[in-house]
Amino acid sequence: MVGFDKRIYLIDFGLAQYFCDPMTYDHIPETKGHDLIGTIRYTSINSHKGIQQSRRDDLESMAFTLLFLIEGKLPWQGIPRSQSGDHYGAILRKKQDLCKAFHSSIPSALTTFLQYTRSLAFAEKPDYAHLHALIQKFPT
Amino acid sequence: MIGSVYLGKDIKRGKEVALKVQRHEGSHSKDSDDSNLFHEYNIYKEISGCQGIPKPFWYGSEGPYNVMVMKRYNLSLDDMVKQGPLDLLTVVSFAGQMVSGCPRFINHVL
Repeated sequence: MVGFDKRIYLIDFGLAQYFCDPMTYDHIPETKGHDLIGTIRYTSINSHKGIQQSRRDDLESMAFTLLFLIEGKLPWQGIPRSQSGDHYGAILRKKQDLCKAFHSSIPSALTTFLQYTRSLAFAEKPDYAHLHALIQKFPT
Repeated sequence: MIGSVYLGKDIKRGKEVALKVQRHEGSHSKDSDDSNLFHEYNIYKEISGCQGIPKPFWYGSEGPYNVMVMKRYNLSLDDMVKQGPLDLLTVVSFAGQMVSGCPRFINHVL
């Protein structure tokens, strides 16, 4: 949400969970077979594949959100629900295509941002300062 | 279960608030574990006080509904994009706040 102070606020924690044990700091295990939950438009590629989410997935969803803000639309919005019924599969393929190729209309720093989030290991601590520096390069 | 969000008014202070409302099935008490609105309220309370997290005011039950009352904001990012794509400087400002929020929220809770 955007406040009257023009600052942004994070809402909707209905699906939030700990990524590590608050007492021992042990990271949650990388489990598979999870159902797709939440808003499909912004969900990460690994989440499509049923992999447990962690800090890296928040950042990948953030990259999709930033692309949505810049372009006004994401490449996988408005895909017709095909007869095959694999609508989520079609969305997943579009997301994978976006990570592979540079698109001239997208700031190259945002592509780098997205590729960095995709390179993170499941329990790896993201380098938030590096991402903050990349963001400053968006307009160039 | 997905909740609905309403505009409310704090009649004592005359201020607008946001209401998140979720219908509970008869057997679910307002603070039962399977109420994900209660789960959400507890998370707000845990992270509250951190810049970038709305303040929750109240949680309770009213008839067949669980209700959370929280601070009201202006627009969602979706509302803003409906008015057209954002200029890059606005995106840089928002993106910076999002990325710096992540470690701040985590450090606040852990």
